[in-house]
Amino acid sequence: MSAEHYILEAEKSSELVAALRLLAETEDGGQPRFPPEACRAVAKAVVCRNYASALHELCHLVRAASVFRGGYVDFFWAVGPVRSSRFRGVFGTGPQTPLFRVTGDGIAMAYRDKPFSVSFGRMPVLAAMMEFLITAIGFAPLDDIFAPLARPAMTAAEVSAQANALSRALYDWLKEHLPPLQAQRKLGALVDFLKARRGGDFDRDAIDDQAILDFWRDTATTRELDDFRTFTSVFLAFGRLRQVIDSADSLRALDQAVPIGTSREDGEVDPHDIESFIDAVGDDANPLVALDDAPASRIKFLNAKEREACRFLFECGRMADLLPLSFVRSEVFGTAQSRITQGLRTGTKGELLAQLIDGACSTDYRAYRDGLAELSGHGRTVLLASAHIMHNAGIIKRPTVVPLRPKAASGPSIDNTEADAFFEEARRAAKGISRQGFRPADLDDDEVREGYVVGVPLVAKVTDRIEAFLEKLARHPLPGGNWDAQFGQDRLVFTACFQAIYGDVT
Amino acid sequence: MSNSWSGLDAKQKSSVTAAFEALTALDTLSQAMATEPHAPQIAFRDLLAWTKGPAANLPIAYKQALLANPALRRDFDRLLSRTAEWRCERAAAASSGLLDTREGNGFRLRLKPSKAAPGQVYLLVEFTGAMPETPPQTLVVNGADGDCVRLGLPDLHDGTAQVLTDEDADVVRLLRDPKTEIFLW
Repeated sequence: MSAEHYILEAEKSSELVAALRLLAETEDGGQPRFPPEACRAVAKAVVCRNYASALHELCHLVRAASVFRGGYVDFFWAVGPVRSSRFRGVFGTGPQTPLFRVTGDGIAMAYRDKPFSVSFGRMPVLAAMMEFLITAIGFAPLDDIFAPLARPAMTAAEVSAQANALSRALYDWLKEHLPPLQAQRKLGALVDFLKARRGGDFDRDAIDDQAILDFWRDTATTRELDDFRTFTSVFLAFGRLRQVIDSADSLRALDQAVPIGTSREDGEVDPHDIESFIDAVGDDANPLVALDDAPASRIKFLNAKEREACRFLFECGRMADLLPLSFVRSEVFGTAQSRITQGLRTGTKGELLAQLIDGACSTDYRAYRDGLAELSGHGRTVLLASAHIMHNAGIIKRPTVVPLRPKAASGPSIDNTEADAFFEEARRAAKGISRQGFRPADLDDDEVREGYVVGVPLVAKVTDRIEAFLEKLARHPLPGGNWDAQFGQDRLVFTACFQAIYGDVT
Repeated sequence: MSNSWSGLDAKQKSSVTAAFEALTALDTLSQAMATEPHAPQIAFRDLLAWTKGPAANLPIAYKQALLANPALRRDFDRLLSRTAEWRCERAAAASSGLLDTREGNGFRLRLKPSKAAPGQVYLLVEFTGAMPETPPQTLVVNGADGDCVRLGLPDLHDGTAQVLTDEDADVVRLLRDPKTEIFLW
């Protein structure tokens, strides 16, 4: 039963995944319709169930939008790529109305009982929330809630009542589609395992590569805990546990806050506090996500394959540094496991599935590290080429190119000879790249020029991070002695586990 | 200093559990979005784009999606109702035969065979009440089975828009079907 059960569990959340994916992948005029940070904000609000205030703001915005031709539907549709500046423009040239007035940073809604403001800065998140709600709940049920917001005379309290109805609709939808994580049970399994291993109590140091592998071998093959069927899910769960234990002091501070609308006696926690906590423990902004957004997205600094090669590294952030072997195991064997489960979803079984299990691992640790090294090399080439292009276009002057050079080669100062050599190297690098944004004619577009200013520091961050992680891997002590020997040992362990988990379907 | 598990009190463990739940849920979603196969589907946004775009019949993939997904169908019907300035609902249940005239709110739609061009038919949209300030430019006929056509309308003359089309055109077939709804905007 295990394999089929696993698939059913995974599909519980598929509509939620599809709705969030649609949000992230919708394009308008060749660029993401919604800024990546707005998509992330929606996902976080949904997962933390901290959406009430956003839905409240959205209802006020929908009311304001009702004065535009075509009402709120056309308003959100016509705004184009959703950015604060677009909303500022739309409201700035919109109709005169007693419903609201445009202020310096947003709109001030007029009600006889209580004023309410929505800032332009929040509008992209609210528009993304609107798109998510339409995909998730559906347009007709939403329209039942939004249509009354166009009434000429309303109080803020009446708008709040519609916002509450919207919250209930989303709550009901999430009951079906946000997978029941059973956090107590899931966390309990990790805690029990660590306690048993350490004899009663444990701290963050108990969470190491061997503990993660042992837990997965035990859980994935013998227990009925679908949360931990994949190695990657186990790695991420232990990594998150280590993060929250590390940050327990900041959680203590949260504990002093008075929760709103939650049952304290039942041990419930204010969702707003949890979202704040996630922001606090979260890593710095993911440069890959920022590269997706305009104007940096106008230049193909990294293609899809290159981004995919380092996606997980940036998603994991500090977890990859804390548990480098587990991270690499997840990249290599977790990816292999993902291929097996995808094969199961498409009906692969019998001999084909057995072959998939045996040959699922398409790379080894050496090849994985080589791939990252190649990517960092590409990053350096892109930075050099960008230096040449930006210099030629007058975007930068010579001295400012120093930080673009590899750390090891950059010094406190640069003389003319070295600068000449650098620019010759940069010129050669630029000659070898013909991607979107690197062609001479592309620089005629102001947004592309701006894309270099915004994007180059992000590419430098990506490259620095990959290089630092490769250094970490090179220094990391391994139980197997070296990465090749470690792969040989791990391959036996993972193949045996895959057979134990999925073998019954063959 | 490292926090030990037993050093956390019950309330802190509650907070740790909630934070753990939210973080792992985000991880689960991120992993699913990155690794699960992506099957692009017709979404509400596509239907909205169709109503805003140039007049064209509903693409076959859209029809299939509407047939397969009742919720999407419901949303599409709502969208048409919301977009339309004028509407003609399905004919009464007693109307079982094919119709040549449909009565909407403020307009009548007639099909009149062309005497000059055999096999062709005039589609006449006649406004029966006050003349609209902004004449309609689009006619949509929506069938119950996902069939839907959209036609661009010419300017009104004496309160009537007139289109000459083939007798066997989809729009004629659907207009004659009493189970279809008509929308003008």
